[in-house]
Amino acid sequence: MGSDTYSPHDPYLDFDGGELMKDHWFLFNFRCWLVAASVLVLILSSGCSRDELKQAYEDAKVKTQELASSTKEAVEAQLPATGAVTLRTTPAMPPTTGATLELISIGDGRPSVLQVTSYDPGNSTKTYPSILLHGTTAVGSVESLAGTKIQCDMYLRVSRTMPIAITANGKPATVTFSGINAEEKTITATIEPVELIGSDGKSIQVLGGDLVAVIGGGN
Amino acid sequence: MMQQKLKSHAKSLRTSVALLAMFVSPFPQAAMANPSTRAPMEPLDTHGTIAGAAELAASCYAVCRRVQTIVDKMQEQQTDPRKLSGQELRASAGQLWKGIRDAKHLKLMGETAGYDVEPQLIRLSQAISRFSSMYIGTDEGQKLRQKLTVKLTRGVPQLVKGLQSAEKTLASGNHEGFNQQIESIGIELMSDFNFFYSEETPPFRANFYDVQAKGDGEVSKARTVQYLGEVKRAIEKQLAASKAFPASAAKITDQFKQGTTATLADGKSLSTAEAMDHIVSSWEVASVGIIRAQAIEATFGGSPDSLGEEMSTLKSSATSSVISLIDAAAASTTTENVRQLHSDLMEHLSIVHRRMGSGTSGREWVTACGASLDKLVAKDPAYPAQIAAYRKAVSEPLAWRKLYASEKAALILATLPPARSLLIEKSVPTPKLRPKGTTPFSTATTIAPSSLSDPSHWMIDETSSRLVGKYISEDKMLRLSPTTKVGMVPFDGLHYAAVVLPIPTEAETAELRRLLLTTDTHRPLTFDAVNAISAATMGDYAGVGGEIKAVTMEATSTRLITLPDVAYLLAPLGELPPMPEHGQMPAAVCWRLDIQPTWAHPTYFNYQAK
Repeated sequence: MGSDTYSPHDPYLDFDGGELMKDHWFLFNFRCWLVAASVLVLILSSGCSRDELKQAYEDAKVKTQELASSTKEAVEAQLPATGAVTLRTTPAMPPTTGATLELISIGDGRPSVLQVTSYDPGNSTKTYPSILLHGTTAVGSVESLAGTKIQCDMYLRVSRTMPIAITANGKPATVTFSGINAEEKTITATIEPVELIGSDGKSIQVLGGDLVAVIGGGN
Repeated sequence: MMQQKLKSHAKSLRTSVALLAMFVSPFPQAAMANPSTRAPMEPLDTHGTIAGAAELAASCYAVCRRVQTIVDKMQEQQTDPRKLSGQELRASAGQLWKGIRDAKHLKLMGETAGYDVEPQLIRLSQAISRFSSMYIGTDEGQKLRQKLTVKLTRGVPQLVKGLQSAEKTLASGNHEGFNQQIESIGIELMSDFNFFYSEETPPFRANFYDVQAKGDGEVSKARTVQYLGEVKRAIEKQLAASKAFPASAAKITDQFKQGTTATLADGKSLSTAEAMDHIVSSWEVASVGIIRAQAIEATFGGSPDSLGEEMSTLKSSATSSVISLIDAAAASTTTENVRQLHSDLMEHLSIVHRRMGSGTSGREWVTACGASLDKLVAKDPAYPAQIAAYRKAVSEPLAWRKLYASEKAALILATLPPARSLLIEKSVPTPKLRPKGTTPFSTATTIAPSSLSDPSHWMIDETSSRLVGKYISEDKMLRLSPTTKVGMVPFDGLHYAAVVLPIPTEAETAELRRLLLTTDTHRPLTFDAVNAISAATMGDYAGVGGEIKAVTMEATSTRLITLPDVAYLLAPLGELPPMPEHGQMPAAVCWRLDIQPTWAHPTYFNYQAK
């Protein structure tokens, strides 16, 4: 979750479905720029040279970033983990507002299904970006996932108005699970570069990605 | 396993498939006549509700074609009337007089062919009169008139005798006998009268016209009464399957309350799935019977929707029979058979559901069946949880794929106009068969009219030339079985379509199976998953598009009255197809498009030809 992804000029934030994220943004930026403006006002009122002003501006920027970072951490620390899927694409897209992993065992001899959803499947209103990772595995429990690579079909809709994109038949995304945070009940994984084909026929290159998913109940 | 089931379904429909192939053989040499792109001069087929119509129509069309050839030749010769043949003019006049009577008879028989040929025969008759007028101005014509004057004068006593005999026949109640006698006299008389002006014929005709008019009136009345009786019997015959349905379905479902099989009257034993197949097939046959009966009624002056209630009653009887069957099977099936039976029943239900169209009643019925299936499922303790897990495992990708496919379909559809909108468009035709001077050629006309407005061969020429080669879309296509070579686009009141199959969707269907965790040993466990695979395998598509390769014009009455049992696909199961408004059926026509597909939308993916 690099801060560049959270650029206020990011066009994806203008899309419907990102209301929650927009609220965060408003509070977060408002605080940052308030601090920066205060620092600048102090400097300007003290009669500094051009170089000094420039230095003061840089200092203010660093302070702003530090404050932003600490504010973000503070906010995150207070919230229960919701997980997120971050995909590196051009143009950049924001991370999802949540991610839940479920390992579904049907119990009739079929392979288990690994499913990561960035949205609540029970809620017809989707949040955007909306992502589904779906694959089968012989792994029987979430605990055993760490260190495994699973081939997943990836389904993506960046915003409500953008076309759905899906991995091509026979060219799934490789998802490598790294570790489980038992306390937060989350699991992390990396997503290898993969190509998605939009319903409009256009290709989306995913240069890679990460996910932190809340471990769901399975079945 | 699924393939085996589909194969068995296909097998059970083997004879039906043969029938369908006749009904809608793609592009070529259609088994039925009817004017088409390839054979515009073919006659309109008859429905034959009244026996003898086919022969009468064939005779009328033959006269049309024969005299048309003569008229075409005489058009060239008219600058020198001496070249005109008195014999041809004489023979044509008699044939046309009889042909026009036959055309009126055909109309009484409810045959659209009568509405097609009558104006053609009248037009030809006018042409023959015109050429005859030219001919009698020539020396040859005058000689012929002299000969005929002698013949007609000498023939009066015999004519009087003949007319008296005909009157006697009529008085005895033998209407068809009278008709034969009067026509025999009339053909001869009208052939000769062709070379005289009407004011010249009284000395030669005795009271022919009076006897003819009186007799024709009585013949027409008698025929009307007779035909209404035949129509009533034809309707009753078509409704027999629907009337018998509730009792025969109950006989089957009742047997499943006691055991796990049912025995038919012919001794054949049915499993639950076979029993469902049997009930549904009987419903389909009965349903087509109602459509045929409704079309007969509308053709002979009745309302076009008088049998709507009959259709609804049959539908509710059929749908509740299926639910009773599932309930009975749920009670009597042993635990070890639950999974197989559940799977078999869902597959059958999914096919029926798609046949029922996109209305809410089909969905409500599936929901009601679902409640009964739940009772069946509950008999195997581990099964409900497995179904729930399966649903959770596949419903998300299924929903994404459906949406993805419909987004893609929407983009493709933007380049393929709906067939119906093209058919009702107006444009200026480029006639090849319409004689010059008959109508202004610069007039914009509806591409595919819904009723006869001109001779059928002119119409097919002008419709076909504006449709063939155009790329269009249809919003639904159904296929009788996975092996049928033709997909059917249901009838919308103006047109239906035959789509050449197969469309190579195997790779995408295999992908769908993978996605739905389905193999030969593991069948889909939810209705949506079963329906997705069944529709893709069967060839039931949510959209199809392609190039119009050929067009066929048909009488709407004939199309619907002669609907084969297997053609239940032409209308949503349980519903009447759209019919022409009250009184419009006799002259109504419809259009069959033969489509070479370039795109298909089997709900969860798209196929596009490269």
